Order: sequence, then structure tokens, then C-alpha cells
Amino acid sequence: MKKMTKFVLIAMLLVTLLSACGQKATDEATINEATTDEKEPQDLVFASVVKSSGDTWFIRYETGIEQFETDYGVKSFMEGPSQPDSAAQVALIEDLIAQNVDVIINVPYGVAENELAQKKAMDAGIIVIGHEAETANEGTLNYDVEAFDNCSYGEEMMRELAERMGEEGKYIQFVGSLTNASHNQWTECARQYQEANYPDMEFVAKYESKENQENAYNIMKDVLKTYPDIKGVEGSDSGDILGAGRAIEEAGLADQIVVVGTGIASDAKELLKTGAVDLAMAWDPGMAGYACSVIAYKMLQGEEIVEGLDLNVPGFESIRIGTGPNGIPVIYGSAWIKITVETMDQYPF
Amino acid sequence: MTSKILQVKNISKSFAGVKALDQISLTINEGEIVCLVGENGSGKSTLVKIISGVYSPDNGEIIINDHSYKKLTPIDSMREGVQVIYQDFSLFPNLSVAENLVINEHLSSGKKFVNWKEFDHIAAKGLAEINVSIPLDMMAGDLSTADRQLIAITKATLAKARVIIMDEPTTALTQKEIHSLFNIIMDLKKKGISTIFVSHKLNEVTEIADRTVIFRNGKKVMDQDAKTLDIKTMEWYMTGRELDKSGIQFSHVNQQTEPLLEVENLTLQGKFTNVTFSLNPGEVLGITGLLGSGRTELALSLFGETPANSGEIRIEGKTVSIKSIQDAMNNRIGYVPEDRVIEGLFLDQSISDNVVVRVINKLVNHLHLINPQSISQVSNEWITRLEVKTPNGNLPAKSLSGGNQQRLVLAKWLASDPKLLILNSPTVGVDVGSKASIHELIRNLANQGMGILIISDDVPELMQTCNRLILMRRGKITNEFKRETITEELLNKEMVANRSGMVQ
Amino acid sequence: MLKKTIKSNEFITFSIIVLLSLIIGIINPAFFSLATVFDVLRASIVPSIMAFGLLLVIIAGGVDISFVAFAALGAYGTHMLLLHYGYQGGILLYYIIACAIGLLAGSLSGFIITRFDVPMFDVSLATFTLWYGFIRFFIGSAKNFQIPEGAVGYYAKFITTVKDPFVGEAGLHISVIYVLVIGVLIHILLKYTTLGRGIYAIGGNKDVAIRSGFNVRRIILIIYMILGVLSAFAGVTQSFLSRHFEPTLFMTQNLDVIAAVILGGASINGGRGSVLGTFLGVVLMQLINRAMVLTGITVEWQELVIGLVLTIFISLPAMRDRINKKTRHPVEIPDEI
Repeated sequence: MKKMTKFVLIAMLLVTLLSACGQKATDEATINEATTDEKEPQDLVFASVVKSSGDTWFIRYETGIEQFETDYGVKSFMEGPSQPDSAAQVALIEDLIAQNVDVIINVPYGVAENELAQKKAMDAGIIVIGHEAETANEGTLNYDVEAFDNCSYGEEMMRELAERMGEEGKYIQFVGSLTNASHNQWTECARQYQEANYPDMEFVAKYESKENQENAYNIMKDVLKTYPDIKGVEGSDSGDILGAGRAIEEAGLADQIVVVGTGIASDAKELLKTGAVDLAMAWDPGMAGYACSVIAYKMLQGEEIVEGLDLNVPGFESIRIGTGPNGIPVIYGSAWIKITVETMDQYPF
Repeated sequence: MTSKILQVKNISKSFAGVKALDQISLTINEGEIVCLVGENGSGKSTLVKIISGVYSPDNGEIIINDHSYKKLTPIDSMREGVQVIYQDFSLFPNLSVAENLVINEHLSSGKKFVNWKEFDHIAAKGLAEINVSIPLDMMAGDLSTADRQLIAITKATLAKARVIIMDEPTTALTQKEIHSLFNIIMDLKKKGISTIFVSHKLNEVTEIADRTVIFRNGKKVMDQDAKTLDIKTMEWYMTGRELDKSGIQFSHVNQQTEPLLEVENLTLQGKFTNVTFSLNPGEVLGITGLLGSGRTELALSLFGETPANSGEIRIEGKTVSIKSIQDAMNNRIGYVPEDRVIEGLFLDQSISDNVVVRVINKLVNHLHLINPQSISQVSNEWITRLEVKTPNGNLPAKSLSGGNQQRLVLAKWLASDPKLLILNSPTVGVDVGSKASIHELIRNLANQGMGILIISDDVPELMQTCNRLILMRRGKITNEFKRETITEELLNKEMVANRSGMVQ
Repeated sequence: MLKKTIKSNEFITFSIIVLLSLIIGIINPAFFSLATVFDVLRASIVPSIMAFGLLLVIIAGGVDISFVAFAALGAYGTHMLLLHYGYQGGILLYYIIACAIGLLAGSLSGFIITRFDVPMFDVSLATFTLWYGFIRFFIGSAKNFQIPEGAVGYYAKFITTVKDPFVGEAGLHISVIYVLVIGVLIHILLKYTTLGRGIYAIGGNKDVAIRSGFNVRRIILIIYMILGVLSAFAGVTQSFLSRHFEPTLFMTQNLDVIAAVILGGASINGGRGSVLGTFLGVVLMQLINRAMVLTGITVEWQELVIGLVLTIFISLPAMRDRINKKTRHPVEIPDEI
């Protein structure tokens, strides 16, 4: 009977693994054939690891990866855990190192948790590019590529929020998680910008949605009770404005409260229409993924990455190179987009 | 006029070629109390399982209420009025008394819904019939053992039992509770319900049985009116040998040496007061008394489980403080608990692991890793020395029979090399043959210089093992006897004297 | 009788809820409003429905973590299927199909558990991953925001609404009725049917249950069918309330539901638990989670505080048991008085 139990469990595990790795198996075959250092483009393998592969955001990211594959004639694919999970990401990177891919582009859930694996990949001769990982420690990424400088993005978001709030009243901020460096940077810079420029606005509190919009929804409801004079909401995770927006809409307060934050058109469409969400700001994750891949490709070709370089990607026509707070080189574009009810149909993601 | 309720005819049953029952025939009459005795493995539980429909016999015939069966299913058996009361009483600890009483009946009715009023009504009636009052809404798990047994019996009568089979029913009961159980069995008899009483305790058998049936090695070796049977004859038929009791050679205890253990004015509030005694090396001291006399509490205090409030304990002349089990173990005191299953053994772990569990920190190599070789060496040594009957030390402890489990508990303590061993009712639930050899083992240990304290109310056991006896009552030592100056009858009388002073 | 009520698990949980509400309300008076009641109830709807299913498993002495996967499979699977065929009707068909899917998934677990005698928890470990993997591989991995026309606005179908001075409009969502109906049905099942008593019996002592003539396998299979149906039902409800369908629905919420059932007085060792207690456990869990914002505890402290509060509350019923056991255990009568 015990044997039977084991058999059933193993069979189940196999099914699960197969479903998770189905894609990978074909890739592996390709990789194993590539042996020489001087590879033709069709032998190059670009792997992207993302926070969560089921997320709409990363599904768009994947289109950029696929576009890059077509345009440059390399092998390029994306992997990620089904839920945001740093440990699962590390495991995926370990696998990719073992497969000896040429490039890993990592979008870490927790920046610090992913560093060791990234370093290990670099030590194995793999080019490692980060995205949304500005705060990584020196030597754990070749480059981090950002659609924009986080601080500028946060400030831009605050300008939009303030304008819509009439530059006065209480506002709250959401971050996806307290360990998400980008989210925290956006909100910190936004707050500092507010303190410097909009003295009549008042910051109330920062909340963690755990990247789950049901949490944002419930938190928002309680915020309405606790701070009935709340006038503005700034979201960081793409689910934040949706959860908060739903709560506000259901309370019939869509006209009284301004909701601005990171989000994408496809998710926020309905709430933009009803006015519960006022502005979704984003960058095209597809273009970011594409830009990451181009940087890696240029490095493989031995090209120098310099300030002002044109990556031939919208928003990355003239890159800026800076240094992250912990020493890694960071490439900035200026690739944010603003999605309102008027413009939302222009953005097919 | 008696009429036959249950007959088995020429029943045989083999397991993997081993004959567990060989051509057994047995008749149970209406209202008869039949005691089924035999050592472990003699086949009595196999017969019980055949009558209750758990096993089907290889050949033979079972006739219940004039219906003949080649084999029974449990449902057939219950429908014919056979009810077995297992040692676990088959109760649901999380359900109320009423529900426990009525659930079987309810299930066999095939009803899909539950009528609580009806449950209470039936349950109350059932309890009243055997003159027992237990609150119907109490959870069965919160009842005492005796009460749970009463529930199990009531459950059987409610199921219109004509034959109730009780498997070792007195094991966990106090003297008083055994008495009331016997009263109930007599009541059942008056109602025409027969009882098959499976037991090891021969003195109880003589007290309750109308007829005694003895099994040995799958054969029925004796079936006769209980009045004409004495314990000695029964033992002879059970074991096939005469158990030597009279010729016990007690080692000479050297009174000149320093006492191993001295206890002075030991007191535990509400349990025992001013207990003073001493124990020499090589001596076996029995502490007896009725339940609640403080005997068990005294033992537990000496072992550090419930430390005493005041008084002094000296070991080899040195005053020691025993505030925890660890203290006791450091002073090389071992304790073999009464309920070996709950307190003594890790039943799912291997026999070897159980032997070495107390000494595991000594069996490590220089890397402080456990050395499997030393484990098997130590455990094999004790398995051999204590004659634990097992084909393999790697089998789980629960594979052993009761007597062998008790040996294993002993082995566990002996492996830690104690100077003083406290045994609490060492042979409860152990069959006669094993009992004798455990007694022999205890005496051998004493002969080797160990000091042994036996807590027991089993008079024959005390008579066979102890050099000296202390009688406790209401937490005080009331009497002390030397082995040479007391007889079984006298000791029994002393205990009865104690009992008769009891306010009911 | 009164004494018994006071000692009951439900009463303890209820008292904690009252106490916690008082504390929150003293810190933030806005908490005392009908809107709060509606909000807490609304947030309790979905976890309650799942908890009722899970309660049966826990009473029978098991634990399950895969029920959230039944929910995701039922809700997301149904949605993607109906989307494929361009369904624009109402919510009823969603419930019917999802419950059928949940029934199948639950039956499969139940079958494995009973056929191969595997502990419920072990099977759920496997099926948890199996079904989420299945969804991703065979159904889809993207959130979907397309609600069929017939069900648009379902999220705002209220029994009654109040104008709250602070919150604006707050409504009592109609799906509270589901909780009530399912709760009453499960209560009747547990208390007044032979099947229900069998569930308690299995949790109390499985061997005795078999010996007494309960069809233990059949009972466990039925428990899992109910768990599957209720989970899928909860999944659809949640998806319409939050107006989108996601493949990883509830993936990280199973432990919260287990905690709620335990907070409601069910014993993790089986044999004990009630519908009312479970509902109160869910409400308590919601309150603990929400106390954070309402009392202004900053986000950095949130997890630690929730963890501490849970640890204390989880130990309360157990401590009560110990005390009760001590006082109720029959005292051995001494041989003389």
C-alpha cells in the first residue's frame, strides 16, 4: 500500500513538473548543441526569469522577448513561478545555469534574495541583466535596465496625483511589498516631491498589498473608514489601483477620490471608464524586456555600452547610464506611458 | 433449565500454516458466565474473533440461536446477539454518552437522520436497566475507565446482546471497580445474558466464573465447572508446567551494608505524609495499598515526576535532591511505569531504538554521531538477556506481545544501568507464564545487587518477589512485614481490613 | 445550560470578536457602524464557504490545502470555457459548471484517499500543485477581466445599502445569503444526519467507526465531493465580486482558511468543530487582518502583530480544553474519607 501511495504521489509530481517545464525541455535540446564560444545568433539562448509568469504584466513582457527572438534570430524565452516567489526564481536561475544559457534577464521579486544566484550565473560566464533591480549589490548584475529612473517616475506620478487633487488633501500610498525596492523608491520620491512642492497635501500612511488586489480592496475599505477625508491614492503594484479602485467605486466615491498608480490598460479598463481609477502609469514591459535583451546582445557582440546609445526601442532612443545605490551600473530609458480613459485604447496590453 | 445459546463445533483455524485453533468445540448456555483463560497465543482471541465474525474458520460450525453458520460476518454475529467489549471499549471520545450508546443501533436501522430526543430516551433507559447513572451529555473521552466500560456494556445490552464477550475487562480497573463490574455481570446473568470473560487473572476467574475453559496451543485442554477448579490446577493446564512458587530462593540481604535508599519524612501535600523507609542493595521492597493510598504518587516522587514538598531522600548515605526525572536518572534511578503502552514505549519505533533510548548519548562516536553498530550491540545484548521474544530487533515495539513489551520496558531501563529500579505494577496485563519469568528476572536483578521497589496490589506477585512489604493507607505507611513472617492469606486479610474500614 | 454555553468554543470565539471589536472601536470610533458590519460580512463570505467545506475534512481528522486549487480550477476553468463559447448570460451557469468541476476534482482526491489509504493532507499536497499546474498548462496563465454581460454589476447586488457618514455607500451583498443557506445545510448535515455523525465518529476514532459499521470510505468520498463543490462555488463568487478571473486564485490563502476553522474551535486532531464556530472563526480572522489599518498600526509591524494575535487566539481553545479536562475528570475516590 505504501508503494502505491508513493507511486501516485510521484506520478502527480511528474504531471506538475511536466506542466511547469514543458517548454523548457525543447529549449534544453537546443542548448546542448551549442558548444563553441563563438556562436552564431541562432545558437544564442536568452532566458528571462520573471516574478510571476501568469501576471498580465509579464505576459506583455513575453511579447517583447518573442519579438526580440524574431528580430535578432536568437533563441529567447521566459520563465517564472506562478506566484511571486523569490525562492522559486532562484531555483529557475540555478536550472538555467545548469543548461548553460548565454543570457539571463532577471526581474527579481526580492532583489536581495536573487543576488547570489545572479552572481553564480555571472561566474559561470553568463551575461546577467536585471530589470527593476536597481538596488542590487555590485557584481551581482552586468547591468540593470530601467524603463526610467525610479525617482523621476515617482515624481511624475506625484505631479499627476497632485494636479488631479487640486494640490491639496490627504493621500495614501500602496506598495506591493515592503521589500520591493522600486515600489518603495517610487513612493519615497513621490512623497519627498510632495513635501517640497505641495504643502497643502498630507501623506497619511503606506500600505502593503502583498501584490494581491483583494488585499488592496480590503485595506482601501478600512482606509475609507479610518480616514474619511482621504482624497488621493497612489498605487505601486499593478493590482493596487484595481483593488483600491473597486472599493472606492463600490462606496460611490469615484468622483471624490483620485486614484493614480502603476497599472496597465487591459486590467484597468473598466475602472478607468467609471472614473474609479483616474490614471494608470506604466511602461511597456514588452519594450523593457526587448531593451534588456538588446543590451545583452550588444555585450555578446562586444559592443561598448555608452551614454546616449540608441537601442532602437521606443523610449530607449538615448539611454542614460548611472550607478545604482549599491554599485551596479544602471541603464535608464525614459519610457513611461500614461493611460487615461481617453488614451487606453492605444495600449494593447 | 438451561438452553444453549451459542455452540461452536470442531472449529479449526490456521494462519500461514500455524494452527491457531485445533478442533475446538464449546457451548455457552443462557445466562452462563464462562471464563476463557490461556496464555498469549493460546488461541482464545482467535476464537473470540471467529465468534464475532472477524475471522472465518477453516472448518467447523457455529450455531447461534439454532442458526447454523459455516462462517459469520460481523453483522451476522451482532444480529444474533453476540457483542464483544474490546479493551479500548470501542467508544468515540468526542461523542456524548448518549450518542455512543445508541449509534450502533441507529446505524443498523439504516436511518438517514438523527433524532436526539430518541437517542437520549433510549440511552437513559439502557443505563437504568443496569442501574448505572452517568450524565448523558458527557463526552465519553472525559469519563473514567470504569465508566467507559459501563458504557460499553450498556451499549451491548442495548444491542440486545445475548452473549457478551469481555476481553481482559479488569486490566485497568481498581479493586472496587472490579467489584461493581462483577455485580453487573451477575445482573446480566439474571437477565439471561451470558458472558464470556477472557482473563489472565486467575483469582478473578475463580470469583466470577460458572465454568472455566482453558486453552493451550490452540487446543481446549480444560472445560469444567469453576467451583471444582483451583488456581494451581488452572496454571498447570495453562502452562503445561507447575509454576514454582514455594521454593523461591531469596537472596540474603546484607543488613550490615549501607542502605541504598533512605527516605525520611517524605511528604507530598495531599498525597502522602511522613513516609520513612529504607532499602538495601539486593533487596526487593514491595509497596502496596489500595488505589488512592499514595503508593503510586510515592513512586513518582522518588522518580522526580511529582517532586515531594518536604522530607529527605538519601542514596548511599548522601542526601540528594530529586526535583525532576533528569535528577532521578542522574542518581541512577529507573522507573518502569504501569501503563507501558502510554508511558513506557515508543510503539512505532523499533525494539532496538526503544532499548537504547535512555543511553543514546553514550552510543556516539568521536564525531558525536550515533553509531548504529553500538546500538544493535547494546540492544541485542538486552534482548537476549531479558529473553524478549522477537525475530528481529528492527521490528516495531508494537509487534511484541504484552509480556514481551513489559520486558522491553525493563530492558530500556536496565540498559541505563540503574542502581535503584522502581516497578509500578510490573505484570499488569501479562499472562501467567510471562509473569513468572518476569518475577524470576526481578529476583535475579536483586541478586546482582540492585535495589528494587515494586508498587503493586497483586498479592501473589508481591509474595513471590519481595523481601519486605510496606502497606500504605491514606498516604501513610501503616504496616511493614517481612517476607518470612507473612503469608498470602494474612496479607490479603490486612488489605481487606483496610478496605472494610472504607466509608462507601 | 448557561454554563455550558459559556464554556463552548463558539462563545469563546464570539467573546474574542466582541473584545477585539471594542478595542478597535475605542481606537477608531468609525469602526462602530453598520458599514463595518457589511464590510466584514462581505469579506467573510468567500472564506466562510470554503471553511465550511474544510470543516468537514478537519472534523474527520484530516487537513487539506488543495481546496483553494479546486476553487481556482472551478472558477477560472469555467470562465475560460464560457468565454471561449462567447457566453454572455448570467451567473447561474457559472455556478453549475464550476460546481461540477469542483465535484470531479474533489471526487478524484476522495478516490485517491480512500482507494489507496493515503492521508488527506498528503494527497492535498500533491493535488494542490497538480491543479494549479493543470490550470497554467491547459487553461491559461493570464488574469481575465471580461465579465459576461449577464453578470456585469453582480458585485454590487446588495440586499440593502446604508449611507455611511464616513464611507459613503455600503451594502450588504446578496451572497451573504449563500453563506447562510450553505451554513444551515452543513449544520443540519453535521448535527442531524447519520452521515454527519459519521464524520465526527471518524475524527474521534476511525477504527471504531469502521467497526461500528460506518462506511468510512464512502463518508470521506462525500466529504471531498462537498469540499470540491463548495470551493468551486466560493471561487466563482470571489471572481465575480472582484470582477476578474485569475489562474492563481486563492493560491496563498489556504492557510488563512485553515487558521479560521481552528480559531472557530475545531480541533486539528479531528472530532470537533461546528458551523457557527467556523463562521465566527472566519469573522475573527477578518477582524484581526483589518484591525491593522483601522488602528493605524504601521505596515512594518503588521505581520508580526497578526502572528502574535493568532498565536494567542489559537492557544485559547486548547487552554480551555486543558482546564476543562482537569476539572471534569472524575476524581478517584480515596479509600477513606
